[in-house]
Parts: sequence; structure tokens; C-alpha cells
Amino acid sequence: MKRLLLSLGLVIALLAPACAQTGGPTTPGQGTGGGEPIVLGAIDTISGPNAQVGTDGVNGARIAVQQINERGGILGRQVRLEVRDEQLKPDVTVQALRELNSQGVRLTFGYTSSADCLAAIPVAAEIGSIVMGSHCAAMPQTTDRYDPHFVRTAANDAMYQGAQAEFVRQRFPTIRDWDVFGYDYVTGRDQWAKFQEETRKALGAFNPGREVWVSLTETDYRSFITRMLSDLPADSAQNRGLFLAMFGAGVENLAKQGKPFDFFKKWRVAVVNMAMERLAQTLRADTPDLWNVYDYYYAAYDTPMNKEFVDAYRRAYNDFPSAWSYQGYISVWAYKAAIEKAGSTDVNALIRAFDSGVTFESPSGPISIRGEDHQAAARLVAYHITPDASTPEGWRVTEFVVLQPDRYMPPVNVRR
Amino acid sequence: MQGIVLPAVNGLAQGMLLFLAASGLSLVFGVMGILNFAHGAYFMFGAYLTYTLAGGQQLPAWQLIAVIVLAGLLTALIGMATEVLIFRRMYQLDEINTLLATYALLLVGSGLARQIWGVQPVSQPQSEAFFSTFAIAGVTVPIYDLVLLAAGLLFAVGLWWLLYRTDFGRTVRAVAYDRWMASALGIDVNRVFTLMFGVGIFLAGVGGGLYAPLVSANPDLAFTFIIQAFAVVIIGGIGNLPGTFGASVLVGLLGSFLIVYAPGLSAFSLYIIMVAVLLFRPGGLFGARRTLSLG
Repeated sequence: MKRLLLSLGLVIALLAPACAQTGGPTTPGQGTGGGEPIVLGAIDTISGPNAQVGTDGVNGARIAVQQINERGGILGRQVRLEVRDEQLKPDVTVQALRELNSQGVRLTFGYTSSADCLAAIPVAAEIGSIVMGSHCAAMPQTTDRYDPHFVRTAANDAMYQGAQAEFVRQRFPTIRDWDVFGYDYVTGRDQWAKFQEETRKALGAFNPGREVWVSLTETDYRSFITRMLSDLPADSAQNRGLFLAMFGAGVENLAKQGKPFDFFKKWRVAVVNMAMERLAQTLRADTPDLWNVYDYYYAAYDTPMNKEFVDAYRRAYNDFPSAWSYQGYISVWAYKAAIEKAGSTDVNALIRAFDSGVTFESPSGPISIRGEDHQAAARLVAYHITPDASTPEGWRVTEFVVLQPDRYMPPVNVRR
Repeated sequence: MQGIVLPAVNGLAQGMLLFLAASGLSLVFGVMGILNFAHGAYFMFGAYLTYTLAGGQQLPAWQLIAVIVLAGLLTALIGMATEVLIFRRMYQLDEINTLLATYALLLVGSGLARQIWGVQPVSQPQSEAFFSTFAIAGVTVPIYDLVLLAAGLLFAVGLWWLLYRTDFGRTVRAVAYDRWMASALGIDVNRVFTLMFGVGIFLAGVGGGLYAPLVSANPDLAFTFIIQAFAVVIIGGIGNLPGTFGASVLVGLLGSFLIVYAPGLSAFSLYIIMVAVLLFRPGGLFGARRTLSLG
């Protein structure tokens, strides 16, 4: 019995919530252009609790591939995707990167988390691949851990928090007292620190208040909610803000478990960075009242490319594209622009092209990737999502504000 | 007062959910000697089936409760089918191999959920009536916490009644005590196993259903609760149902108060207790029983 119990304890301690599944290769748009197709490797999380990020990203990329192929491909060559599931595990990411490289697929994108990007970059430098971060946002990739084999088409954390601060300056300039409810890990804490720094710069004052941090694996937030609400000033709904340093299931659980307490009504404004519209599709009437600052909202742009993207996405998936779909989509277009500038798919030629700056068209307008640190000047959008029982979805977006990167783009800070 | 009442109610409600998840584990081990890691998958199916049966719509309170019970029954049927088709072949394996085999089943269950319900989480809206609150000593408490408390107590008493006050319970205890002798006396042991497995899985399914309005269901729900549930079973004593109940309440309350008063400790306190119990009292705080125990 003792041996059994000890073994059981060991198994529990070692267990990780994982469901190992690997996405198979896809072959969309295999065409008949001149020469071999250009194969792009999509390494993204398409299983586990964050599977929606990678699934949307790959779906967006497929639309881009289809559109590019319909217009003659890149340098006359058709484009093809090879999809690998990184399972949100850096070791699996590296394995996928090496495996694709061994098959001659050296141009990759996706990478759900910064841990995935940080693990992949040194390997890409060693084996001669390119890692294009479609989703990962931590700063080191484009500062002290910069490597020319890395390119980021997503915004980075400084941009997200700079944009949040810019949004607060524009819309809620009198709110100086902010509380945080976030995931207790490095990115959650970094986001809060950066938000404080940027908002203090934008407003001239910032008073940090209550901080509640929950484990990434926690699902029962009721006691955390209790702690957050205890002794909250009675007038908090008039003059305090709530910063959510979390995403995905965490925001869902907070919305559902906080509803009996009218949690989100205790603050004048609550802000978050994530693809909130996907969450609202799940939560429907339980959707909290939030301002979300992120890469994309499909109705925010009136460009022909956005219309084409949204229409194609709706046709293919019977759904609107999320910010994650957009992130996958623009990564493929960024590769197209870089390959055409380099005149080749050779990795060194592409790095030289990125080093001198690459600009590509996107649904939100032209985006430039900075030569010095390979960081895209991503355009961000703030949009207000609110529950609305009168709509079939149970929620709606009431307004949005497009934020221009010159207001929050951090200076180059590469430490080579 | 708020600093005591709210964590206490939250902790007790959480403890009841843990009990529902863990009691089936304890029951199955107590009767059949199976350490069933796949139990987490049944908890997850309970949550998903509640969502599916409710059509993802907000229902009146009584309808939601009926749907949760129905989801529990359906989950129990699934459980009984897997007992007959799969688990029955494991009874000859040693406990370590059983543990690994059931872990594999847990993965299969999670993968199945992904295939059936997709990668995007699903959310069962709470009933409007359960959004309301009530006051204890001037402190506002969500009424759903009371529902969880009542459900936990109801099922604990119901389980005790079933096992100690019915002929079926007497038969189960006889099989748990000595399955060979029970078989020799003409008891259909396989049938008893299947029915008891169904009862354990019913509790897990109801637990998942009760949890569904509080979280978004995703395939990882299978893993979230199983680890806590096993920890509770170890702390309470494997196969010891009153111990499981006591440990569930203890763990729920401890976690809830730590979140309020020592948040740095809350994330891993459960595992510290589990390791301490394994090292210093490996039979659990209330004593392990290889055969079913009601104290």
C-alpha cells in the first residue's frame, strides 16, 4: 500500500495537463507556378487549452496562402503550408523547427508564447531558419536576446502597454488609481509593470492599488474575487480602473464567477490585451464589459484588403477572423514582401532584406518591419465589448479606436 | 466578518465540488481496487454534457438542476459501458499498470472531447436565480455556493444511505470485503462492479455539471480536477469515504483562507499537505482502506 501511495503521489506530481496531438501537414494551394512551391512552416499551438490561438492563426495563414496563390504566388512560385503543433511547449517547438528544417522548410511563423519564441531563436540561428513571431510579445526577442533570425509581425509588450496607456490618456485621463487581476507568471507581472510605467508617463501620475495574482492552472477564482473586492472603496465604479494581466480561460472564469458579485461593474473601466471577441463567442451573455487593446478587430478597418480577408475567412470557416487569425494572415504577407525584396527564399538573403526594413500591405494598412530590431510597427485597436441580451450573440462591440504605432512604438533597444 | 464568512463559504463550496469529484475515485478504489485516473475525463464529460443538454442556453434553476442530474446519469452510462468494455480487463493488472492504463484513458477522453466539442471552450450560462446573493452576518454571498454546499451534503448522505441502509449497499460491502467469497455465495460480482462504477461516475458527472456554470469547459478540465481529487483522496485515505469528505472540506477551506490571508502559499499548499501525508502518514489523515470503508 505504501509503495502504491508513493507511486501515485509521484505520478500526480509529474502529471502535466497535456493532450498530445499533432496536427498533420496541410497542402492548401499546391499549384503549378514556375518552380518548386515555397513552403512556409506554421508552428503554432493547435491543441490544449490555448488551441484556439494556433487554430485561428493557421486558418488566417491558409487564407493568405490561398489569396497569394490565386494571384500567381511569390516570384512566380506557389506557396504551401506545413503545419506543426507546438502544444505550447518550448521543447516541442524546437523539435518542430528542427524537423521542418531537416525537410528544407526554413521559413517559419506562428509561435504562440514568448517561451516558444525564446526557445526557437537560438536553434534557428544554429540551423539556419527564420522564426517569425506571429503572436509572441515579450521584449527580449527584439532587445537583449535579439538575433537576426527572428522577425516579429505581432506587437510586443511595450507596444501593447504603450497603446493601453495611450488609450487611457485619450478616453479615461482622470483615472489614476488602478488595480490588477492577473496570471502569476513573468508575462503577467511584466505587463502590469509596463502598464504602470507607460500610464505614468502618459498621465503624469499612476497609483497602483490592489494586486491579485492567480496561478495559470487555477480555475476556481471565487476566493480571489472575494479578496479583490474586500475593502474596495465605495466609489471605485466612478474613479478606479482594473487592469487584467491575463487571457483566455482566465478571463472567462473571472467573468462567470464574478458575475454574482457584479465584479466588472466595480470599476469605471476594465482593460485587457487579448482576442476578446473569441472569448465573447464562448461567454455570450456572460461577456464582461471590457475595453480590449489588441492587434485587430475585423470591423475596425475599411480597407479593400480587410474586406477581402474577412469575406474569404467567412466563406472558408463560417466565422469572422479573430486577432489571432489576422496575426497568422499578416505573417504570410510579410514573408511574401520579404522574399520579393530579397528576390530569393535564401535565409541569408531574407535576413538582409529584413535588416534594411520590409513594408507589406495588411488589412489594417501598410505595416513596416524595422530593420534594426525586426519589429513590426503593428497597428493596434482598442474596442469596447459589452454584454447585450438583445443581440443573437449576447454581446456587441459598441465602439473602437484605432491607435497609431507612432504613439507607442518603443525606440530600438537592441543589445548585440 | 467578511474576511471570515466569504472564504469559509467559498471554501466549503469548493470542498463539496472536490468531494463529488473525489468520492467516486475513493469508491471505485474501495470496491474494485482500481486507481482510476480516467475519472477526470468523466468529470469533464459531465460539464460538456450539461452544456450540450442545455443547448448552451440560460435555463431556469430547476431545469438546470434537472439537466445536471441527467448529464450525471448519461456520464454514468458512459462509465458503465467503459467498465464493461475496458476496465473489466484491468482487474488482473497490478495497481501501477492500472494507474498508467487509466491515465491513457484520461488522455483518450480529453482527445475525444476535443473532437466532439472542438478546441474553442464552451460556456454554460448560469441560471438567473443562481446569480442572486444572500447575506450571512451582513456579508453578501452568492446563492450558488449554497447550492454547491447542499448538493455536496445531499450526495454524501445519499451515498451513506445507499451503502449502509440498503440491500445493495450490503452486497457492495460484501464484495468489497471479499469478492471471491461473495462470488461463491452467488453474488454477481461483475454486476456489482458495473453498478458501483456507475455510481462513482455519476458523482463525477454531477460534479462536472455543477462546475459548468462557473467555468468555461475545455478538454483540459479533465486534468484540472483529477489532480486535486487524487490529492484529496490521498489526504483523506484511499478508499475511506468519510476521510474523503473530511479532506475535501479541509482542502477547500484551507485553500480559500490561504488565498485571502497568504496568497503566496495558496497555489501549492495542497501539494505540501499531500507530500507531508505521504511521508508521515501514508495511509492518509483518516486512514486508508483497501476495501470500502464508511469510517
